[in-house]
Amino acid sequence: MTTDASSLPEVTVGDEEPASSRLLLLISTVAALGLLMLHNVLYPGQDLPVFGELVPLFGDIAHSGIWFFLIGTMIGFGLIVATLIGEVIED
Amino acid sequence: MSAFTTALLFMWLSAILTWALVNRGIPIFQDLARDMSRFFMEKALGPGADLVEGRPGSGVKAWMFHGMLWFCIAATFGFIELWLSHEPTALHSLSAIGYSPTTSQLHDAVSLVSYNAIWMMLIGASLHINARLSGSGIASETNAALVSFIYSGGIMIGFIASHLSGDWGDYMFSAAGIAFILANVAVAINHLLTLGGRGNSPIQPSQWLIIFALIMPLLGCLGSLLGVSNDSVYLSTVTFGMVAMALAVAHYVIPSQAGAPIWSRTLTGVTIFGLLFFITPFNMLDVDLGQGTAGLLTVIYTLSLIPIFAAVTNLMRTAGSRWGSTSSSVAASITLTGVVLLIPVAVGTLFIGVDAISLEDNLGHLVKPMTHLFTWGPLAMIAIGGVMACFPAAAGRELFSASSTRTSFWLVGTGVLISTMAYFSAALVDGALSAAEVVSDASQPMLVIASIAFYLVSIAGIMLMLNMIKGVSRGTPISSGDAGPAVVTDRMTLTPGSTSIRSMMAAGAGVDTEISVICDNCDEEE
Repeated sequence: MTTDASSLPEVTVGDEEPASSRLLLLISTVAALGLLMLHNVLYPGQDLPVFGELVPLFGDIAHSGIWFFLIGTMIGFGLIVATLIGEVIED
Repeated sequence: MSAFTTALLFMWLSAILTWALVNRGIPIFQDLARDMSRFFMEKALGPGADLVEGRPGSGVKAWMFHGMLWFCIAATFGFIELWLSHEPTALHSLSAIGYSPTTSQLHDAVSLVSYNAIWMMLIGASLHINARLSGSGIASETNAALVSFIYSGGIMIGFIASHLSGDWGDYMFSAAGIAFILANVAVAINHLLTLGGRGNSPIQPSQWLIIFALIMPLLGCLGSLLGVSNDSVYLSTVTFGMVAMALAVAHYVIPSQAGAPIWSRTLTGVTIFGLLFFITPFNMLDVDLGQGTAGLLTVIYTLSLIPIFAAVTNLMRTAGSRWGSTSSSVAASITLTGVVLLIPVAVGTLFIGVDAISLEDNLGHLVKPMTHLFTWGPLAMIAIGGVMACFPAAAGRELFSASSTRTSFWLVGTGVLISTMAYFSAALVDGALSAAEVVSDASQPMLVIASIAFYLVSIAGIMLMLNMIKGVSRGTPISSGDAGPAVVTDRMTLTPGSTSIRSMMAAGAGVDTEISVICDNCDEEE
């Protein structure tokens, strides 16, 4: 065994990210959401926790699970504004 | 002669007149009309024209950015509407800050914003397509960019008006309608001037569809003002405009991304003229077209399936001729998915439309899910395909991330299909329970699935918007040589006169294209 070879680590991570890895993440997300929906269908009496129950600050506002989704959308719109401002400043 | 027949004849004559004028030009006044139009498009706007720069591609980018922003908003409110259908009190806490829309108000707002957002995206793509096929660029980039703000303002006013009741709501709806008409007139003139600058090259199918898609709704509006048309026929022209514009984009995106000529010229002709002369039942699900017209309307609705089938077959065969290129292009894939979805929508709306005009109302409970499928299936997918294909070429840079683009495609496809299936299931269950006079919330789990699945569409919209913003400044530059359409036609027919190789290449000619010059009077001249 040469010196150069022994200096290589046994495990490496490739620099090139395969496109299918993103797709796998997407499928996982969709599957997770699907299982969440399935839980709601199979056990309709056991409601999922709503945002207001988890974050006491919003206890008087967010009484529904819709807020989990709306927060995601709000973050998305925030990202759009932030990216727009960032790109303009960078230019 | 019934009012409906009169309106139909008016629209058919208008279509023939438009075809003749576009093909032959306006006798004697041609140059005067062109110069005056150019003056009103830019110089007459005064300082307004200085608000935007008329750089190449700026009009396309402005329409697409506005359209995508409204698309994200429409998808978000569409998700909220679906969620509230199974949990009406979910947003009651917002009533503390004054936001408590009724179900119908929210539905109207979502319909208005989604329809116009998709229209803006399609207009952006159409400006790019017409400019490329004409080979001369858009006649007025300044005007194109400027009117996108007017149209966007109209959507904003209409969105607010949807949440209001009483006189103020009506006034604001009128203001929004005026903004839409003014912007569409300006875009139509811009397209006609662009078409006029094409030289001697023949008008391509996409260009015909674009022109008719813009002119027919305006003529329908004029017919209503003159009293020779009615609201329902006007609505049919608006629906025609949307379908024709979507097919115009599909007839450009699929061949150009596949790098193959459109499969059949005859089917293309059937698509254009069939759409013009038959009323498609899309979106005509709860309209009153007047008594005594049910028989005629049923025939017209049924015949309208012919151009839809022709378009879908033609585009599928075009894509199939170079399937490797088509499937590797996200823009072509999502456009083709939207085109294929036209078949179930056309057949489904035919049944629901005929049921509506027979006044039996056996399928009334399917109107909402069918409208959902029509809007977010064929129309939204083709519009997104148009953005993915045309935006990079207009901006001169690729979208920032190819994998993000592909993810957006999968999110939209998954979201629309699952939400539609669940929405239909819920509607069918509700319809059956209602017929049996049973009160039950059995459809609720399916509405939960529909709403959560549709959330993916709003996320996809946001991802694509971010991709576009980053792509404009940091995307890989497209060299001018790559920016042309990849489609190569086998054969091209020219009329006598002069043209440039650039114009011919813009129209789809390649080095192996066979050029034929057809001249009716050449023998007489010799």
